Amino acid sequence: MSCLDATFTLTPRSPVYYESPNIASLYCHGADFWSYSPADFSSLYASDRFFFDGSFACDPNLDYRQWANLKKARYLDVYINLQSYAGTKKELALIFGFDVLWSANPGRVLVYSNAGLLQDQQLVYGDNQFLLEFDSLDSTVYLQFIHAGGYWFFRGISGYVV
Amino acid sequence: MPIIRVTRKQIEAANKAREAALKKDDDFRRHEEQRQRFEEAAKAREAALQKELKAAAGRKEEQPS
Repeated sequence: MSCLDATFTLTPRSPVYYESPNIASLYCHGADFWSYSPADFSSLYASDRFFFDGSFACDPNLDYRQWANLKKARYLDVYINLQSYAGTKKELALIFGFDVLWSANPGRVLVYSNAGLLQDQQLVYGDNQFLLEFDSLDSTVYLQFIHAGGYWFFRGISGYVV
Repeated sequence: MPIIRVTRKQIEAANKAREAALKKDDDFRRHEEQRQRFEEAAKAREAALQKELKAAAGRKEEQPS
């Protein structure tokens, strides 16, 4: 069995992919550090992860299309522009990698575009990824992953052009 | 594995909504402009680095063995 190499992978320590004219970048607008492993800064740096504390989750009932609400939430912002594939009928598969800290507290992420909520995604303990499929690469993609509950780690996002 | 499907129509609607929000909200526009500036600088740095690496590789090839 052979595995497909990712076109790009964005992680906390490697948040930019740039192969002109294609670009993808990851922004983090708020994450947490604790004093002890595995959620202290050194451990998170070593494991290349962000940590999100459930006590600081956003209110999932607000409308995060509104900048005034979004800017107060903790979220990951992803920008993808794969211009060289525009018009090629190629598709993009995006893998969102995570770990959940405790089985009793599943994570929760609101996946938003600027037009609204795409998915209210639960992050289950023991799972480590979910998939977004885009049927076109003709336009720039902006996505927000908003921390909406639980205690979890963000591991990275990989994009596969297929 | 959970799968979220995003269509071309949804991406286009999102980009239209984004354009409208940028026009409407000064604070959001300022944030995006800062980000854009930062991104352009990063691209320029990356391009310069690539050029330098290419030049260094060229020099290495020219060296007599």
